[in-house]
Amino acid sequence: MIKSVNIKNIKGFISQKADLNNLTLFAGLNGMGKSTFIQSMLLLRQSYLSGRFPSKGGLLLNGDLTTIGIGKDLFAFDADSDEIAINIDFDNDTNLLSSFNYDASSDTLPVKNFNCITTLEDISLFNNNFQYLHAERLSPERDFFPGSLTNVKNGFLGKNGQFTAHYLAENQRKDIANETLKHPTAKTLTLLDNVDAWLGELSPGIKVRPQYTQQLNSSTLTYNFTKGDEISEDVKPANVGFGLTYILPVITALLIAKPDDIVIIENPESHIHPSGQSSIAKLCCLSALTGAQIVIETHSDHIINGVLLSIKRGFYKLDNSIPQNKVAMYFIERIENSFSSTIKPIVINEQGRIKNAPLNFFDQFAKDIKEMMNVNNESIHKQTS
Amino acid sequence: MSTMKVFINKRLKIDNSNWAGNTPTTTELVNNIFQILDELKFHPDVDVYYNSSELNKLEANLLDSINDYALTNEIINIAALLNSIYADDVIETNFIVENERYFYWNVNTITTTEITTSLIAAAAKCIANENNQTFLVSVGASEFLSRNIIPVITEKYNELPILRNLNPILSTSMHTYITENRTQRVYDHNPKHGENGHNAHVGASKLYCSIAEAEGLLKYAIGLRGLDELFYFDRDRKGGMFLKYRYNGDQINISYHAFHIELNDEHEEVPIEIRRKFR
Repeated sequence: MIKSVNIKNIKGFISQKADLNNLTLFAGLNGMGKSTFIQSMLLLRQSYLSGRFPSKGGLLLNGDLTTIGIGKDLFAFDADSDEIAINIDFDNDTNLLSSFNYDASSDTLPVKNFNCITTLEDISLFNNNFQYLHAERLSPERDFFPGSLTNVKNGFLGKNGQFTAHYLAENQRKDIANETLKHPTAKTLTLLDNVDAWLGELSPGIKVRPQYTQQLNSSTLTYNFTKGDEISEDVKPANVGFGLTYILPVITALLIAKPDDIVIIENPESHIHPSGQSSIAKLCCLSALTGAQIVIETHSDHIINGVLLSIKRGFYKLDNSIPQNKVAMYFIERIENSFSSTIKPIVINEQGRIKNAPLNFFDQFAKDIKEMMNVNNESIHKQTS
Repeated sequence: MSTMKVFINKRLKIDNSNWAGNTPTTTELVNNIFQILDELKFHPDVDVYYNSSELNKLEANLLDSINDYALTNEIINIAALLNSIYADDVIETNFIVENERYFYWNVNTITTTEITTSLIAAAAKCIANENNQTFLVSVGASEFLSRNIIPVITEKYNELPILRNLNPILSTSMHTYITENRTQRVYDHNPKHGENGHNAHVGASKLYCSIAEAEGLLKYAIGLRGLDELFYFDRDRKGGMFLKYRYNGDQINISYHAFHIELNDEHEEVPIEIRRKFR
């Protein structure tokens, strides 16, 4: 498991460290640098998988997982030196220290220093125990989804979740990673039963049927709705709610995540109803509880609140819960009068309560309801005084 | 039909005299506000008024909670509850008209004191017309020490003054006060539901009690804002089943008819808040 990520002179950060936990959430206004920690990890992984890191090249800025551009796009505006560094601590006392020379116009930054006592292949960040789902996932507005025997064999759903249909078709009857993840309404531990059950929290009675056609190396998804013993005609992804297919990779990734796997998900809330977002938060907590490391970037207070409720349930030793000491939450904001950002840990107590949250940390509802009901609404009190 | 009005009054002193027991702590005040709002949400035929400047003062006193995240911030939750029951801020609501003044009448000293508190002035304005239909609920009051009515004089230019009693009610008595004093609801039976479990039309829900019982229980039925239905939990039928009162749609005589909800249909037909309230 990754214990911390320490970055230097990357995008909005001159030097910043984030301690990660079983479940880590990054939040913040747009353009503050929420993605930077995730991108730093992805840069190392894509550079390693392309054979350029730690030797023979360097840090590959444009690859399968992330596309940064050239050196100047990565380099911090307010950089304090020409050195770019990504250092990662792992929980088995392994440290990966890597630094790179800045080259403004190159898309590969040469390695300056590298040190790691463990073979990178043994670390989840670099092997197949890794999953990354970008904020932009494959649209349901299509009849076929791509297949990939290699990625499916390696358990990788694709950056855009594009191999999810193929993965589900191949593995639908296999058991989910851990019994803890079994949805209460799922009849068995099989992956498809549980995907259906968790999807059912978003759209009651929904069933998904994945199919892979080897000749075409492509997959299809069809949906059905059930009502008691009745089952509807097949429905194409384009004709059920957009969010169902969009969330399918997220649910699948969380259900198949094994202990020590790293699962990074950007905006799991996209296109999902608030109650569904809360359910996804619950599943994230359960997956993190089984020992997988879940890293989330989110703009959703329903995701945040769902996690806080899981912590509260954990305090009272209830089901669907996670203890507070397994969660890290960060709010990223820009330093005043600066191009640089800073990362503020959100302090959550054992009962899931947050005290002294920074300004703009999911406080829009509070601001709106106070204005609506005239609480500390200066304009109305001035008018009437 | 006039609507009952409740004014949520945080002030415990009138005429500088303490008339409502010990001064509560901020936590007790907050808890009591939650209890009051939790009760009022089940009385859709009661209009609720509050004073936002009192909420501002309360927030200033909530040192521990003021920086709490929205989900658990007490003031945010109070504001959200007030919003959910369509409560109006007296600061925003133009109750007070020009050339109209309101006074406390102290029966002991036979003196009057002008009311300057927006909330009580607004309540005084309302009782001048509606008497018991308007009352104050007193936040944080555990008992009334010196009086349980407040005589209020409304003085209008060129008109005779009006003397009315403004009733300050303890939060614990509010449910009973509302039940006893609101405009009586009218029961207008719909024969398609039958009576005592018989003679209901095919496909229609049954009324398992007598028409007279249904009429008598209407007074105690509760509802939620935005619904045109009221509910009562009839413990005497089938081990307990909900009686639903449906609004007949008559705008002049607001009347209801009733039928019972079969146990299997309870989850769909009875809102969860109502089910929890009765159980």
